[in-house]
Amino acid sequence: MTRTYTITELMEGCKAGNRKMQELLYKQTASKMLAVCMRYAKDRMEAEDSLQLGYIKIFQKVTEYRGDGSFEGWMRRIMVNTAIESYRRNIKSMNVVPIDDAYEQPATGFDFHRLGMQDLMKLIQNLADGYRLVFNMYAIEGYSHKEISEMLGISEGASKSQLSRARAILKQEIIKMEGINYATYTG
Amino acid sequence: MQHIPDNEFDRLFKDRLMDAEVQPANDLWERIAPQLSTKKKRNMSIYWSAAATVLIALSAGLLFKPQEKIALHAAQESVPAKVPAAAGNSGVPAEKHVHAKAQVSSTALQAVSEEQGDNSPSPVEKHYAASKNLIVEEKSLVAMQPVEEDDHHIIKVTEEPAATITTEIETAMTETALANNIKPVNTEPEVSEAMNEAAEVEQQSRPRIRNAGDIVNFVVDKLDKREQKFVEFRTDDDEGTSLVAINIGPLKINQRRSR
Repeated sequence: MTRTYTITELMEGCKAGNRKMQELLYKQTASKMLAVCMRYAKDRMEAEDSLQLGYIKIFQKVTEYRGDGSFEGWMRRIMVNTAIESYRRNIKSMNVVPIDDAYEQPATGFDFHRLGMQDLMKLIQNLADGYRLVFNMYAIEGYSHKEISEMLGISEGASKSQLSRARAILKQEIIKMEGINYATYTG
Repeated sequence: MQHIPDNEFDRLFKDRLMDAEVQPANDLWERIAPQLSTKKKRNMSIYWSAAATVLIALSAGLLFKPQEKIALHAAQESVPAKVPAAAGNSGVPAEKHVHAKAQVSSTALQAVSEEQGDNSPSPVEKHYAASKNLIVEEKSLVAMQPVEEDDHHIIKVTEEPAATITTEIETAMTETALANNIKPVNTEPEVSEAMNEAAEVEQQSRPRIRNAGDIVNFVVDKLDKREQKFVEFRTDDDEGTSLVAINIGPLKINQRRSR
């Protein structure tokens, strides 16, 4: 017999430091939050590490949540910020991104609808760190280049160029995938 | 799907990934939970210790405001007499004695008052008190003389009360002597010997709480059984408020370790 709580009830319980409510909030939201972490991570292991840190931060900071915007949105932002922090800690790995001849690829001939969520996730994870962050923040979270440049400590121009490179690489990869899919269909 | 615009391309990702769900490993909560408990508890205990320390120190400071220290060897160094406790029994209004700036050893008076307040003082203390009274008598003669600076006219006005004090003290002394079956001692050597002896005994038998620092140390000693207390004050100086040691988990300060 498990009574289901609304996310607001769970949030209030967490504000009171109730361990049971913390666990229930985790159980109810972890899969969505892990999907967020996955987009920002190279692989599942990194994503789960970042999920742990993110939840610890959520429980520590829950008293600061003032109710502007949905609580789930607030949690997502914590997860994104956690990912950004760990990226900035390892910032050395950035800027050594091999730039393929991505621009020259024609953005035609692929069928998006065949690609499932996991495929897209995989594509994003395979991007180099800087591209992955910018693409996620701009295309999915909806941050502006100005916000991204402030959060990542880069220039707006860098944010823009990384975004377009990220798109180009993604398109290129999708075409490759489509080719394989097509081959498996026919073959 | 031909030449897709950037915003549409982004949208395709957003639509499929925004509300995506990925099941985390089953034991992930078990990895998060312990990190929550330890952090929280530890923080709390530090805050509580700090708050308790401040509270204790403050309340002790309010209760035990710095008092005039009673010098054990005050027989030699005279101080202006406060209201003599001995006069309390005499029926003479106390104010008069306040004005009398008789140079009487306050320790001696203290001793007399203790004598009267206490029903069973140790023999040594009694002896001490009795011998002190002799000093008082001698000193009170000095009190008849004008004392320094601006006390002149007060002295004139209060010569009579000063004389009364002497009488009071004499009476008290006699009472004490009678009560103790000890005859007044007249010779100097004996007096000082008795005083030294008394002083020693007193130093050992007196409770060691003399100021706010002692209070804090006492309370901390009851609460914290470690060798290095979470807070310790030096109490053998005049103020009794010098912080010498702190031991709150990671924070350890120790200015002195010889007690």
